[in-house]
Amino acid sequence: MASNGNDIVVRLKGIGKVYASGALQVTALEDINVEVARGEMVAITGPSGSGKSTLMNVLGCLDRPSSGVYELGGRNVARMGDDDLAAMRNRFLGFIFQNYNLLPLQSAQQNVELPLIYRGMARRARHEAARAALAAVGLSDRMHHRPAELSGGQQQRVAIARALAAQPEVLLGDEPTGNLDSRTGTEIMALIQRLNEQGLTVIMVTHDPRIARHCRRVVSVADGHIVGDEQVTDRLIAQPGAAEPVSA
Amino acid sequence: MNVAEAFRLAWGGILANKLRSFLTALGVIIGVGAVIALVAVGQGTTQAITQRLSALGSNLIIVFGAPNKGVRLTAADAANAQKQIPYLTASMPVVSGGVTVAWQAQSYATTLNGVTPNYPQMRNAPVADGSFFTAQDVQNRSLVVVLGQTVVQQLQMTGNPVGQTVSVNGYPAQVVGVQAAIGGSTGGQNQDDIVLMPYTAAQRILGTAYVNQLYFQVGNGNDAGIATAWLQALFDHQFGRSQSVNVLSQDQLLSTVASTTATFTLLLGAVAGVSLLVGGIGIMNIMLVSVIERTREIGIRKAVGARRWHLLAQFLFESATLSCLGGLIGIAAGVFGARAIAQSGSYHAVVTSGSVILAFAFAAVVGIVFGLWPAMQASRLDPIVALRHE
Repeated sequence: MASNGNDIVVRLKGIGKVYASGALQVTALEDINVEVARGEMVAITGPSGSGKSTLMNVLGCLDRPSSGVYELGGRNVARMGDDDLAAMRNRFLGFIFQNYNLLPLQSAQQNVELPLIYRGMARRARHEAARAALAAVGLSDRMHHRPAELSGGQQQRVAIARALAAQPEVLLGDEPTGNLDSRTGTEIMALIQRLNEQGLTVIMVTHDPRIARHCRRVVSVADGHIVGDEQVTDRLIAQPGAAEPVSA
Repeated sequence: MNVAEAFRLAWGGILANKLRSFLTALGVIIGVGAVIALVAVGQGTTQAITQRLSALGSNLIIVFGAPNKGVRLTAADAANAQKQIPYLTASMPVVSGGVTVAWQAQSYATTLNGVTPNYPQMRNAPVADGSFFTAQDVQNRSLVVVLGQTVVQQLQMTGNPVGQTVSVNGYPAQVVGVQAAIGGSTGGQNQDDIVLMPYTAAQRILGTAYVNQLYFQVGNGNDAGIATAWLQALFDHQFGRSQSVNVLSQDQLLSTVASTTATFTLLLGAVAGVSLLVGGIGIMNIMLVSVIERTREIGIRKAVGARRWHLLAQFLFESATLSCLGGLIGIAAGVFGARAIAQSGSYHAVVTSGSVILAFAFAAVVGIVFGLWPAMQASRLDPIVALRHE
């Protein structure tokens, strides 16, 4: 993926994160420099405790870095307040989580509408957007089901629809296939790859090298530093319906 | 997100756990219902007593003697006072005491009031059957009586009592009239449980030359104050000491009773108000639990872009809606309860719009005040911590 300078969506410059736990200071991230261009599909990998979750929280505007500059959509969010961060998440980011994080008492459609409510979108427009997003993930016939009435794969697709409905700049995934069997995981990866083909920028955290190979680029983190950043040469293309992905 | 949206979110939260929402609101329901019902009893009692006092007759002033201090009133004092004080338009000595009335095999203990023919007009107590005795009867010390309704019933008098002879403490007395029913028994003496007789004859039966009270009437209610003062001065002069007699105008009676019953009403309302406050604390308790229980939900909402005030509004609306809903149901319960109390017969209950508005407003304020702290807790949660919460 060609990345010219004007098309950078995410830019981390010298990002550090230090947690103070009592008298002890724990450095979770140190001098992280990453740029992600529009249309990229990036996997962030690393062992547990490597700092990849912290990096994901910073990328997701859920946490503020202790130092450095984080430009999202051309604005430095590193020093923003809680409400401004919430607005950035709402406007620029779509989240998918390992455990889906759907509201259990709300229907699929209501879940998908959630970010649009906080954007101030009118009811009717919200319904339309939710319907379109659910159709895009193939769940038109499950709109009024509650999460408990859906399979894991379907729940994750609702979560993807929720992220898509807000038309984000970046789709952030935190182990999106972690709770799914390999067949369903493949389906989800196929869906994410298709969305990426359509131009959506994707960043996902995974500890699974096979999942990472579905991406175009892998950033490796260890001990709070970036230890590797390379394009995937033997990329896997997920085939929905097939248990095993094929090489590109 | 606008107000309607916040309300919809809050309503969703309430419906999500209907039983708990109802139990939470129950505290407010009971509180508001109790305030309305108990204040209604207070107000109803006040109204009943006030009406009873008004029924005493208009523009009445009553002078009480103090026999234990040697201040004894006589019938001549009444006539004398009326002569001296121009504001007084009517006067009546009243001598009273307990007697036993008998008719055939029945006997009944009641109160004998020795009065004058001014009684029906001064006390607003007309005669239903027969007629009141006359000034001639007073002069002649005639043993004639006018019976109250309760006495007629207790003696089980068959046929028309008028013309029959009853015995009063052994004295045979002819019934010349029966009083119209006045009704009720709230606030002391039953006005129907009475035997009326010329005071001259009553003095003979009760063995006294004195009277207990003097009744006076002023032509214009505005004159009651000055007439009261004048009466006090007159008797103080006569008995040679200050505060010799106790002079009470109807206005004074009313205001004394009003302040007593207002205290009574306030006390009832305060007791009920405490239960409303406890209901509010119940709301806070449940909302705090709810915030902890819904930590994940809060995290999800924050992750997709909910700002602090979005969550503040959602939870605040939830507690406010619960308490307002509880308030509305409580109003219905209170009105229903007040009606049930009134129908049980022993109390009067009057629901006033003031108590309804006050109780509802208090409930709404309770919901907002006690919902504020949990709502702030919700709005301040760290989304990362909240999302990790199981």
